[in-house]
Amino acid sequence: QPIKMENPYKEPPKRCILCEINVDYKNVQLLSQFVSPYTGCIYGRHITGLCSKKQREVTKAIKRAQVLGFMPVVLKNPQFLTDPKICNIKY
Amino acid sequence: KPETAAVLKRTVEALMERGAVVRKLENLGERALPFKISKHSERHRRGWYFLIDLEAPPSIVSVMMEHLGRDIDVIRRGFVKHPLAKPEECPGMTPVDYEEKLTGKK
Repeated sequence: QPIKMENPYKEPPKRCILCEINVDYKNVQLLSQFVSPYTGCIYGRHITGLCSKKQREVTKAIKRAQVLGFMPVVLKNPQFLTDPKICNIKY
Repeated sequence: KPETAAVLKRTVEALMERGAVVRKLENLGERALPFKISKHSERHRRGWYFLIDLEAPPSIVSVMMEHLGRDIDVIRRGFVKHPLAKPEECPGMTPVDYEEKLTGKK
C-alpha cells in the first residue's frame, strides 16, 4: 500500500539574484544594471529573471530615483556602462 | 560651502517651526546631476545631495513642498516614506502552473 508523504525529491525553491538584498532608491549602480544602456528603459521580468516582489521593488525604486534626480531617465549613467551583465539580453 | 550650510540651516529651522522632529541629516556628497536641471531661471549641472530623517505630522508635507519650491537654492525636493525593516521572507520562485492559470479562475 503506498504511504502518503511529501515529495522527497523536491528541490528547494529557486532564488532570484536579488533574493536577500535590500533594494534602495539610493544605490544607483544596482538599479542601472536593470536599465537598457541605449534607451534607458527598464527591462521586463522575462529579461531580468527576478521574482515578482523584487521586480516590483526595483521598478518602483528606479522611478523614484529618476524623479528625485539620482538616476538619468533616457540613458544609463556612463560610469556604470562597464558593469557585469545580469540580465538575459544580447546586444 | 557656507551657502549650503545656510540653506540647510534654513530648511531645518523651517521644519522645526512647523513641528517636525529631525532625527538624522546625511550628506550624500556633491555629484554631477544625472541631467541638466533648469530651475529658477538657472541651469544647474552639479549639486549637493542631502537626506533628512524626520518625524512629522502629514499636514507638513504640502506646506514644506511650497516652502522649498520658493527657495532658490533648492533644486529638487521630495518626501519619501521611511523604509522600515522589511520582513526577511522572500520565498523563492515557485514554478508557475500555466495550465491552471489558463483554465482556472474567471
